[in-house]
Amino acid sequence: MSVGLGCVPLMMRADEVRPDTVGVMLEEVNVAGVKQMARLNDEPEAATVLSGSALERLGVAAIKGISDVVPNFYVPDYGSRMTSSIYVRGIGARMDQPSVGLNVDNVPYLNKDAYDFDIPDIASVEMLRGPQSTLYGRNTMAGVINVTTLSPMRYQGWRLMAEYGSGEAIKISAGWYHKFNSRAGLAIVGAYGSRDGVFTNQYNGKKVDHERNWSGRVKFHWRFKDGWNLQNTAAAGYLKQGGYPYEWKETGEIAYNDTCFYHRFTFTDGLAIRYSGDNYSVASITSVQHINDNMTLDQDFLPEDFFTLTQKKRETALTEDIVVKGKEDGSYRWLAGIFAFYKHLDMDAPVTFKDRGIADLIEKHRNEANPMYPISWNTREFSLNSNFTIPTWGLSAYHESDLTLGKWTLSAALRLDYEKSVLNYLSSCDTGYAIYQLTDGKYEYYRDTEIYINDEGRISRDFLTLLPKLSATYSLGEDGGNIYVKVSKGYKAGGFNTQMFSDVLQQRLMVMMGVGTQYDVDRIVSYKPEKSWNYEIGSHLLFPEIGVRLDLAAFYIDCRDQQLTMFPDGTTTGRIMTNAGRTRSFGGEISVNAELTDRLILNCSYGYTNARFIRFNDGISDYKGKYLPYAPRNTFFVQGIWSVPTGVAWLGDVTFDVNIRGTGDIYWNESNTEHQNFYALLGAGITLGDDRLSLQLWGKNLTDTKYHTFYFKSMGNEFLQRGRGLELGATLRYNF
Amino acid sequence: MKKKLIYALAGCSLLLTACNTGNGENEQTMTYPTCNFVIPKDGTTPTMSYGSYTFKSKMSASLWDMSVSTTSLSINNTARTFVTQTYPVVNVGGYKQIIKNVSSDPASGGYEISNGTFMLSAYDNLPKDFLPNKVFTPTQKDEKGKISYIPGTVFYPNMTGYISPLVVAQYDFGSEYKVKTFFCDAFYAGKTNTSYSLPNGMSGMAESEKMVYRVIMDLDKKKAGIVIYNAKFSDSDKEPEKAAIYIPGLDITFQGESYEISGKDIIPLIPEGNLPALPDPDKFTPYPTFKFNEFKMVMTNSWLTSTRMEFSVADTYKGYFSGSYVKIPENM
Repeated sequence: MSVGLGCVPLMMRADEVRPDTVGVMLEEVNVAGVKQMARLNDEPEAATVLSGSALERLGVAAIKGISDVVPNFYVPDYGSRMTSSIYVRGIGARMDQPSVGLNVDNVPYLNKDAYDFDIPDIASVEMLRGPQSTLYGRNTMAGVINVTTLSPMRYQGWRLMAEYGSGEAIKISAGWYHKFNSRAGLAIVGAYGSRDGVFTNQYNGKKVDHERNWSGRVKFHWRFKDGWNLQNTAAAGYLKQGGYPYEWKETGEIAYNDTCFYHRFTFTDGLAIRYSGDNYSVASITSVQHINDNMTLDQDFLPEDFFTLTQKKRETALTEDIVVKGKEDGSYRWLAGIFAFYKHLDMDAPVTFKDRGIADLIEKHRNEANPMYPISWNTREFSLNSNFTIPTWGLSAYHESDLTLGKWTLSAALRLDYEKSVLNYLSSCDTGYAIYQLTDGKYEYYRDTEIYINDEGRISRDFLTLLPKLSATYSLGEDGGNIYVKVSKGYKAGGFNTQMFSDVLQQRLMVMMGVGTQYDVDRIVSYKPEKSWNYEIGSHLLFPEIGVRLDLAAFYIDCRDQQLTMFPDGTTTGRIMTNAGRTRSFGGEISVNAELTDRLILNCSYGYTNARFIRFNDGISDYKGKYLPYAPRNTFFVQGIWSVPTGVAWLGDVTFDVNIRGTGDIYWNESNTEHQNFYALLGAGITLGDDRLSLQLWGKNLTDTKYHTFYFKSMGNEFLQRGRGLELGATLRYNF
Repeated sequence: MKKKLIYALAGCSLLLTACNTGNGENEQTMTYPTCNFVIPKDGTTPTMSYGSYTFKSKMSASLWDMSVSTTSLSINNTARTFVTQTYPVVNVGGYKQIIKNVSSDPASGGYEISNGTFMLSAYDNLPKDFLPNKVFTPTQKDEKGKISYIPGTVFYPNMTGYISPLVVAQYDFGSEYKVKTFFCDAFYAGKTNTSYSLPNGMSGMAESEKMVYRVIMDLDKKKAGIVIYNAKFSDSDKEPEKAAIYIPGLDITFQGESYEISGKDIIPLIPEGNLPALPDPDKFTPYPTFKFNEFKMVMTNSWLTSTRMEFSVADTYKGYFSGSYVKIPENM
């Protein structure tokens, strides 16, 4: 475990409580602590924990910010805040179900469209790599991220922050933390962020990646009786964002004529109640989450009137996790739990065809097939409408037993997971066209044709799976670390690719015009679960005498039916989720944290992943042996932190921070014909002050390295998104 | 879709009565439409006509017995009747029921038949994902603009309502005629082999089991039309797949104890958009690009269920289809 990037106890003033101490206080309840059988240090897990101060130093306020800092953990920044495509050890997801779970203050986020949001006053971020499916269940096949925000039981007072950066980026936050007595505390936090953006749409000269966001959080903690703890965190956020700065590879420019935006409202509440007795503890973690968003795109991303897409979504989810744990000391330890969830999704997703789209994608195909009887659409704009309702519910039970024999700890865990999902769809269209007859070189009106589509359907899927985990850990003594081996099964739920409905409906339209292949909705829209077997060996080595911690891990992942996103060639409007035959991934990670002196810290991490197809033939090409797209082969992070006293009491210290993040190579497609070479980004910061008042001047990508974070093809056109260039800014913090 | 076409023999029918006799027996009486091919044994011209057969089934001690009768067998423009005796039903897996060595007793009423074999069957040969009704079920729009499908209507002429189970039968009618049943609106599935040669020099061969042929016969006019579903005559990307292409105005001719359907230089039609409530080929669009230079269909078994079709299209594509609309069991 990489402990405390930036957590340097010796740099604290002795009489002050730093709000960034790693780990959680016993009075607090969080899902991570509840499901751990031992200190995270001693668990057979490849885990990285980042403290609050480490995150502040790196300027991280959201999950995307820790990309590359954690080895083999990559979250490309592209599109909008709706896109949170996390890749860990070659396993990831760009659409629909996530591969990495996210818990924020006990709320398990079930929809990754809501993963990307700024979180003020993070106390810690814990990233567990490798399948966590046995204890955390669905969609944690590549790992789980646990975010804990600051507790009023840990810190009292005010925390104010104001930041200004490139692209007219402004962030302000204010948090009030109050402890009523030794048993109860309350925190109220609010934040606002805005930016004008750095990417320009050449079509209209406006910035495309502008953003406004508001968020708030209320955290309440109450130890209402001896042995009992109650914690409730409610959070809400609203986002208005442009987004989607995709440049056309042919011109290198971002230029599209129709609007693109993403708006989102989220509300979450997590209630955790825990009873800790002499021989056992019981914890109940209940959450509710609601997301209401609207994504509207110029789907062709060109300055032409092809088509636009709108996707409006309203989803509400309820979860309940009950964990019973036996005595935490002793040679035998156990925990058991039940998890249940229900989520309900309503979505409207119309695709609007415009003049050029009607001409090139519809009329042209029809008229090439029957040139003697060409057609002309009655209007130059019409919509293919799709409405979905997707209720999903699941129930699972799990157990883990740990047995310590001398220096060895043997662990076995099992989870039985059942899930059912139903897709109710309604596709509709009301349009028409005129047919002409070519006679003696002249077009004469033949007749009108009406197109009414009103297709309703229901598809149901259920999934039952068993998820085991076995591990053996050898302890190297107190503060010596450990060596472990682990075998575990990972699982990502199947589901429905609703974005494919636009293709299904378009083909339906073409079939009604006499040309086209009708798609089987069930076969096109449904996709199967993804399963993997993960084999890992690792070690946590501590050298306290020299202040060094070393974490090592090597892994091999055998993945079946991997869910991959493909953009079909040609003129379709949506993306396909397919289950690739079989893939494998192997690699390793190393993290070193060294306190070289009481004022000099060195952190570095490196991750290598070799992820390839063992078997994948999409009917057109065979991709056996090719690298998996979007998963980087290398991640690299190195950071040096040097603190120098100013000699002036009220000024505190001057801290210099230099860091380098590296990523790549990344292949953009299954055929590996397009890729991004390895690139490195230099960051630096100077912080003046102390824990009470500090001013940080920072810079990111100081060498203005050019790189891309995303690539795709649509209608035969290639698009890329550039990574952010040089950014400079200043952050002022005042805690009192 | 397939479930609509595969009829539980205890299910959809034009006339269905069922009762429990109270003695632990079940009786069912079902009447199914079909067509009759009447072949004079003296070699004169056969005739085709519409008709129906009534099947009376009785189950006792878990065994089915069945008898057959008809009141609409047209011979020399006169409706003939017969009632057979009761025979044990042979179940041949799936939705097939057969009675063999069937004869009637004129003393019971009607005419004499002999050497009869009758089979009731569902469509069992269609591709798994065959979905014509999804596309071509007629729709209507009410005054509020709400769109709904008209249930029970099927794409093209002569057939309304659900397609009933198939009657496959042969028998001797008296000493003068041999009668074979056939289905005048049948979906044939099997394998189509095509070869093509394009003006730009591209050529190739392709094989498909997706193409389904619906043969619709107008017995009064002795004309037939054939709908080819999922029609694609090559594996070239240049040729679009046609959900349905209709070849009208083919001639029905008799060949011995069988018949043929053929035509030349026919411009096919494609349906476009939503169909009106009543099917009307005049609302289809001519498709000159795919003119059928020649088309010929011959029946390849004595039960008139299997066929071979040969066609050439646009002077570019040649196709050969071999298939059936229902499988005949080996012990039939």
